[in-house]
Amino acid sequence: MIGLLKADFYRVRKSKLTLVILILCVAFPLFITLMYLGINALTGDALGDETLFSANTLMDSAFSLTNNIGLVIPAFAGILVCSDISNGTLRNKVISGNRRVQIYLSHLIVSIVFCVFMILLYTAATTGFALLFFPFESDPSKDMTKQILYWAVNGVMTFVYIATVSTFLAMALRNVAPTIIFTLVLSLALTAVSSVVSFLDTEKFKYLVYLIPTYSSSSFGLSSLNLMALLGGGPTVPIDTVFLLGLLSFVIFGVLNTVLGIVFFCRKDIK
Amino acid sequence: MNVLTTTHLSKLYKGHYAVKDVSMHIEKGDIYGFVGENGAGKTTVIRLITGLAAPSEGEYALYDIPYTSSEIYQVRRKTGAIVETATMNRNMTALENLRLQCAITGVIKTDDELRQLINRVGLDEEAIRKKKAGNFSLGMRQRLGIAMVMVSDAEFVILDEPMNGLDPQGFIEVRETIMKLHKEGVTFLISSHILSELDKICTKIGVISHGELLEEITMDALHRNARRQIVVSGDSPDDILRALQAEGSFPEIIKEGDRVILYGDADLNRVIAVLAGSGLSVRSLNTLEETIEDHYIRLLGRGKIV
Repeated sequence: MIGLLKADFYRVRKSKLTLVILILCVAFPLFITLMYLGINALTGDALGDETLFSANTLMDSAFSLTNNIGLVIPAFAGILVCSDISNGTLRNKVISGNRRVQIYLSHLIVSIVFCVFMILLYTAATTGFALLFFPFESDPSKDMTKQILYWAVNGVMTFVYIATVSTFLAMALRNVAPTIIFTLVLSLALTAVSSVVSFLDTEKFKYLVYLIPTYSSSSFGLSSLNLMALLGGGPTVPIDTVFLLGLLSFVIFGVLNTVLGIVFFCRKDIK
Repeated sequence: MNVLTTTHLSKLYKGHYAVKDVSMHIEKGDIYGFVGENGAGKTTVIRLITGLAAPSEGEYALYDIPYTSSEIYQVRRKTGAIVETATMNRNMTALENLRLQCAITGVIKTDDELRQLINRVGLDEEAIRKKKAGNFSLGMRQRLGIAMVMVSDAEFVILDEPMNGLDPQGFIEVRETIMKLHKEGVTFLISSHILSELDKICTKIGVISHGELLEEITMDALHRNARRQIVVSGDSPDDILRALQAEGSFPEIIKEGDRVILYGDADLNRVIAVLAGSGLSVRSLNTLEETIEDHYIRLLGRGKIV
C-alpha cells in the first residue's frame, strides 16, 4: 500500500496538471481580489464610507464547491485518476500483485490529499489577499473563533467528500470526459438541492436535511452577506449540531461512495 | 518446477466463450510460444492469468499457488507482463517510469541500478536521458516495457505480441533481449502470430484457435516428429497435383498457392521420376523440414489435405 501511495504521489507530482492547478490556486484569488477591489472603487462614491465587500465576503467563496476553483479541483483529481487507467499503469499495478482494494484506496487517499491541499492553498491565498486589501468584519452575534473553525473544517470535509465522488466516478467510468462531466453535474446538483431545500419548510425534517451533503455549508458563512441569513432562513438548529450533522453526512456518503467504488472496481475486468 | 498451470480455464463474454477449456502447463526455464490467429483467445488467456480478468470457469495456478488463494498476490510479485502494449507514463522519461514501477512493485533500487537495467534491455540510457517515453519508437517502448517488467527481478515474464509493429531491427533487438534474459533464468510466455520469430526462440508451443487449445508440444518433440516436406513449384500446380495423385503411393499431398507439398515419407526419387514422366514444367523442387508455421497451418487444417 505504501508503494502504491508512493507511486500515485510520484505520478501526481510529475503531472503537468498539478503545476497548472497550483498556478490557478494562487493566480485566481489575486484576480478575484483585484476584481472586488475594482468593484469597491466603482461603488465607493455611492456607498460613502461603506464598502460593498469585506475580507469575509472573499473568504466565504473560498470553500465553495461551485465557485471558482471549487469546480476545477475535483475535476482535476478525476483526470489524475483516469490518467492511471488510460496510461495503462493501473494494469501494471494489478499484474504486480497489488490488491484491487489497495489500488482503489491509494487513489482515494491521493485524490483526497490533492483536493484538500489545493483548496487549502486556494483558501490561504484568498484569505491572504483578502486580509491584505479588505477589512475583516467580526460579527458580534457569533463566536467568530468557532465560526471560523467550523467554516474551515466543513470546507475541508466538503472537498474530502467530493474527492470520494470523483475517485468513484473515475474508477467506475474509467474515462476522463464522463468523469469530469459527472463530477461537475453532481457538484452543481448538490448545491442546487441544498439551495432549493433551504427555501422549503423543513421544520419537520430540520435535523434530517443536514444529512444532505454540503447543505450545512451555508451555515458557516463568515459574511453578513450570507443569503440564507439575509432571507431570514437558516438553521433553527444549534450551530454545533449543524456542524456535527454536516460531518456525519460527509462521512456517511463518503464511506458509501468508497464501498460502492471498491465493490465495482473489484468485480470489473480491467481492459 | 511448475510456473503456470491452467486447468479447463474458460472465459465467457456476453454468453460466448472467448476462451474454453484451456489447460496449459509451463515449467521453469521454458520459453512458451502461445500461437494463434488474431482473436483466437491468446490475450484473453493472458488477461486471466495476470489477474486483469476473472475466469468464468476453470482455474489456474502460478508456482502451484491457486489463483483463489490469498498467497497469489505474493506470487504475482515474481511475475511481470506486457499485455497488448507496453504500458508506461508517456510524460515521463525511461528512468522516471522505472522509478514509478519500483514504487508499484515495492522494490527499492538506486538510480544506478535502474540505469544498468536500461542498458540491460539494450536502451542507450544517455541517448534517452531527457526523452519522454511518448517520443520513443515502438521498439524502444517495447524494450522499456521489458525493463519495467524486470524491475522486480521477475522470474516469469509474459509478453503479449512483443513483435507487433516492430521493424526488422526491432525484432532482432527484442529477440536478443528475450534470449539474454532467458539465459539468466527467466521463464517466458510469449504470444505471437509471427511464427517465424517464435520458431527461433521457443522451447515449447501451445496452439490456440477459436478459444480452444489445440496442442501443446515442446520444440524438441516438434522437431523430432517434424515431417519432411517435398515442395514442388511449377507453371501448372493443378496438373502437378493430379500427376502426383495419380501415382497413388504418396500419403499426403497439399496444394498451397502455386506450390504442391508432399508430406510424410514420400520417396524423392519417385517424385522426380513421376514429374519427369509427366512432362510437366517444374521450376523448383526442394526438401524442407516442417516449421512451426507449417505445423500450425496443418494443425488448423488450412491447407487443403488431399
